[in-house]
Amino acid sequence: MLKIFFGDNPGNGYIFNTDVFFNNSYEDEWITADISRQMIKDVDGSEVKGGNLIESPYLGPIPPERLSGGVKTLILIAHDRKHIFNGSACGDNCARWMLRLAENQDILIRLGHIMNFGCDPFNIEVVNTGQVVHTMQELDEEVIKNRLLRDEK
Amino acid sequence: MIGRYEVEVYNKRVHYQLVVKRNITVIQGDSATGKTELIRMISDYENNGSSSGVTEICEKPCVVLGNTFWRERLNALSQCIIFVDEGAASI
Repeated sequence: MLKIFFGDNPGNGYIFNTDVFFNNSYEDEWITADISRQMIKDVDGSEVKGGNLIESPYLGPIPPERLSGGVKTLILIAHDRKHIFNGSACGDNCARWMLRLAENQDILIRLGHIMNFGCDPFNIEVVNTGQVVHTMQELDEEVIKNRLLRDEK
Repeated sequence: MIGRYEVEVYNKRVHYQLVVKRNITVIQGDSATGKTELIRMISDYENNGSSSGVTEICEKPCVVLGNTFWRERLNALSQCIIFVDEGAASI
């Protein structure tokens, strides 16, 4: 199930700047893994040629460091279970991949905004309250009602 | 700084044209739509000028505000368009 912490600090192991963290920690196998190839194709429109080479229709041949921040975050979520990643580094076009990655395992991410998870029913646990929501309306209401994104400083 | 400014940034592969006319403009969109690439190109031009391979056309200088000494740098900047990426500490 996808579990989301809304707010600033979800706890130990939290990575805010997923772009920088990815650049310094990715493994070649993470790039060539089947799920990564699919995500890179869908989000970036690019083809993986190898662990260190991706063919972008906009930028030409690029190294993994120049993948989009969103797809880097997805690859980290898929392969690094030690950290909690900042899902707000992703656009809404990454939302369906977050749900798919969480189909067979629990994944915890942090969000500083309400991501659009689409019109189809889903299972998302709002970690702050423990409530499981199934639609965007339920998610919106849970976040807003409990002021989960309100700056309390 | 007030007013309306056209910003054009391009290299051999990508070409950006945008108009900013507010104190703060937020560029938002899906992943992989070129937001960070724009920042990178502006930074390359700021640091290397035309020898970066980037062409920048704007009435005011465009600068990128990073993490290092951002408060001090922000205080020193004047009459320029400041770009900040989402991962910056200043955000």
